[in-house]
Amino acid sequence: MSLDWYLVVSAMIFCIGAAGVITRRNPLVVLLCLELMLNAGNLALITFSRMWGNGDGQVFAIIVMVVAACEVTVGLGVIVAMYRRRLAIDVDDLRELHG
Amino acid sequence: MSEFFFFLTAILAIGGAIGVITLRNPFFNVLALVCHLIALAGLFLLLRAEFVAFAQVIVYAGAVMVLYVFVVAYVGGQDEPLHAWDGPGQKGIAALFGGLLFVELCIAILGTGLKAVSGHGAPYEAGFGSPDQIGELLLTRFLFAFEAASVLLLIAAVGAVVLARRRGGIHEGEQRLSFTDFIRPIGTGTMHEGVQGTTGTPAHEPGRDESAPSKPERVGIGAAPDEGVRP
Amino acid sequence: MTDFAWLVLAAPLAGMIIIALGFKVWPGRLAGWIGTLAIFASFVLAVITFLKLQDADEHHKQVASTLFDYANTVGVDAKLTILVDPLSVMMILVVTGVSTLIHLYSVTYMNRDEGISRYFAYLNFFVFSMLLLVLAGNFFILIIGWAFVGAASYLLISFWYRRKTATKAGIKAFVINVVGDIGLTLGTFFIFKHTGTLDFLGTFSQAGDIGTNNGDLVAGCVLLLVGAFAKSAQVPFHTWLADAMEGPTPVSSLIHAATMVTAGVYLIARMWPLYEVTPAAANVGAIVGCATLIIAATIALAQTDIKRVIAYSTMSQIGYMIMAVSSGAYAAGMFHFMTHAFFKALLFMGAGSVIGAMAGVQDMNKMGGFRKVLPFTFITMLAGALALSGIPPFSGFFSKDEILADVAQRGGFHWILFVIGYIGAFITAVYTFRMMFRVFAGKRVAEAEELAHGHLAHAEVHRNPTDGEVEDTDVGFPGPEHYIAERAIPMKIAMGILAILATIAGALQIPTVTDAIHKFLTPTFEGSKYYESLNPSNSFTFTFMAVGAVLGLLGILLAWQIWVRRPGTSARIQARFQPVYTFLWNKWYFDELLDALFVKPIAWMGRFANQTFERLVINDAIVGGTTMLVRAGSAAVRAAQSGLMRSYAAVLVLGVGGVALYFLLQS
Repeated sequence: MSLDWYLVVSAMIFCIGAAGVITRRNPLVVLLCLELMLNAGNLALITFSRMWGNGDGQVFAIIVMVVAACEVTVGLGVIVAMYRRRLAIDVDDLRELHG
Repeated sequence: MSEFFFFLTAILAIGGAIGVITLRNPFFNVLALVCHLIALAGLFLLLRAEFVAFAQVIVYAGAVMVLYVFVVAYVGGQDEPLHAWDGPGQKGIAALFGGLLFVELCIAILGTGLKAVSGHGAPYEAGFGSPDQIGELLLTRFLFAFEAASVLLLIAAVGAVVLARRRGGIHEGEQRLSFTDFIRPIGTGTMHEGVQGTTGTPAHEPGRDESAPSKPERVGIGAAPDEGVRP
Repeated sequence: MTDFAWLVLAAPLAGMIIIALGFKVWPGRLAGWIGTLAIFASFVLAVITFLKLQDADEHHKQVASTLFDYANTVGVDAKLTILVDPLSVMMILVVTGVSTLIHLYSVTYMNRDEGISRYFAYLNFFVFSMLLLVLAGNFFILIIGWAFVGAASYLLISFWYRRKTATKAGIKAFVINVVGDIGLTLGTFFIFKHTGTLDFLGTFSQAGDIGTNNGDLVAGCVLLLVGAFAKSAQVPFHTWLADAMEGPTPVSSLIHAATMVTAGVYLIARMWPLYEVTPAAANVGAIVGCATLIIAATIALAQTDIKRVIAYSTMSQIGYMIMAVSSGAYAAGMFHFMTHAFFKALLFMGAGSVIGAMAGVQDMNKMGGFRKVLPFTFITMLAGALALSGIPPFSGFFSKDEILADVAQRGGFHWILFVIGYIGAFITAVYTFRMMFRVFAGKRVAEAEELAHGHLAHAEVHRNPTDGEVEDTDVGFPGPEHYIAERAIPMKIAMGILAILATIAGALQIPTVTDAIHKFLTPTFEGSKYYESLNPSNSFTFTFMAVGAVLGLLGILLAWQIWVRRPGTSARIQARFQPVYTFLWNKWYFDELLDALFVKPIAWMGRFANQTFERLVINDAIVGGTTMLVRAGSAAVRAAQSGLMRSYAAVLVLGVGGVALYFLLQS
């Protein structure tokens, strides 16, 4: 099984995640889509690690997982705080940035 | 054999991913992601990355997803109402973007100078991807990254607590308790208190929670979170 | 010696600072006395400097002293340098001396003015600036002093700032003087281009090597002349001087008669090495001076405002001086500068006294018969008027005749100047005594009657003498009181001393008898082509001295015929030569000419720039256009700033895709 298939799968997952970030409006689901994108990256890293036969890519992947976990924690905290403040749980309603 | 497993896991992973972005109910989105993560762990195994695969299953599919499930349960998965600008066209654009990006990445992977990609990679050595190899790397070459990750985790944990805690002054009638509330007597018996009718800790104050008189009033620490009805 | 010269500069500066900072502390009169004392100290120091200079040996009579280097880089040597030599010492002697007397006069004259402290601070500042100008040892300090006296002149002309006419006159003077400043500065550039130094002595030592009538140098010298003309009120930059009579009378006396307006004369005398190698520029100076002396003299014939008559007379006399120093008669020009300072300051003081007696009225038509009631004023003014008319043995006679004789020695077209000079002298005598007779002779007017009965006339309503506008006596206006010399000791002292000086100063340089000024100034003009050679023969000198005296007496006689013997003659002459009279009354239409040539076009340009160009091009096109562009652009971009995070993410994906594509195409 040639390794570039893994990369193709990784690319596909990444694109699906990106499309999800663009389409979904629930911040929870947006976070999930971000996870998808990160995991696609992880898959590519593991593939490269396999390719070179050293563990660097795997360590990188683990660090990415840690960062993803942190991001999820904070993101979910934000969502809970929004809910507490009776804000709509909808990224389209959070439009303080609009010009 | 490995091809079969590869396709199985790849299809599962992609299917899970598609499920994440298409299903309407956030709860099912989370479940689809769990499915996707487990399939991904399978792919990792195929790539001889045992430790990462199991870390993936335990940390990601286990812990993080449980956190998600909790939040989904707490916040509640509402269906997303359709906005005017949120028709099929927008989804089409998103699909187009994703598609274009994918095509581009594929060209990048298959049609360019990543010559080392074609083939089966380096020969397998015993111990590759095992926990001891990863551990050694983490504690020698990547020690700084390891420590930084630990600090990052700490910050994230504290940040999540700070973000999600109940703030004083947001809701009327909410009181912030301080340490002195625990050691202060109920009342000091001053004339002022008698006139005011205030005796004791702020939790005893009359007129509290007039907005929700039907709620049973609990006193002191650990009062229930005062969650208003969501609009 | 130079230490004392520095102190000469420091005294008025200190006086100014003390008065200016303490104006709330001391009463106005004290400020006056402080100012007078400062200038007197300056005068004493100037005398000491003069004595030290006399003691110095023959070859060290030009001493430059540098306090510190202000900027000494890229070939520019701007130092704080003063040059002490006979010329500058003569200038500071006259400036400080006359200034002391005028300060003394002002102590009384401005006594009841609310702004007296301000007045004396300005006056001291003016004296400081003037001393800086004449002591300057390089072009840099000269320009600073030049600009400072312009500023002081502006401040003092506009002193009664509640009078619109005064503020307008101040602005006019300032603007014309700034034109002169520009000329001076540009001229300095042209000269610096060739000599590479700002220092006077360095410049002069190189002047001979450049060659006759070098184009740059001629341009530079003509530009210096522009500065001199603007400061000295020569045609066509003279229109400010008559308007400058809006200032208090002592100011007219000090600035617009005795000192500042002679700065141009000083400048040309100081730059003699440059003018001797650029005869073209020197001839321009001589011709313009000659034109001014005759034009101003004719205008003075028709004016009725007493101060304006004296102002035009000043212009005319400075025309003589400019003509002299431009023709190489340096000693004669400086001599005339000195005598003129005495008698012209005196005439203005006398005019101030008369105006006081008239309770602020300056129109000669309303005056008459003051001879008996203002005896002191009459006597002193008579001395001044005789000196101005060039009647022997008064000082003006000697200095003016020496100028004309020296000019005649130059030959060539200078003969024309010489003849015009004598015509001017005759007209001078006429208009001077026209003024004297109209003020002092004839029937007593009401004010004179009142004074004869022992009390000074007081105006019921104070009016601006120029446009008759009713005015206040509050600050920014003249005070409620007027003073006459007969009743004020300081005024008497000042006028008395000046009258004596105007009478006897001619003794310094009587042909074949004394030669003091010429000898004294010799070190400054060492190496001059003309200084020693312009020495008219005795027969020539005495012939034309006699001619001058006769012309002066004839002028006086004519004036007496017209305004005393047969009153009404002047009205008949007016009627007969109506166009000429109108022409003179309107001052040769110079104001209108300058208006048409410069003011109106520039005002039109300003209006165009303001109302059309600025509105359309600047506001609408450039400012409005850029803002419109930014607005349109921001409106376009704002659509992208929807605040929708998802669209941001989409754009991000696009961008990443684009970057990736770029690298793809690169590889």
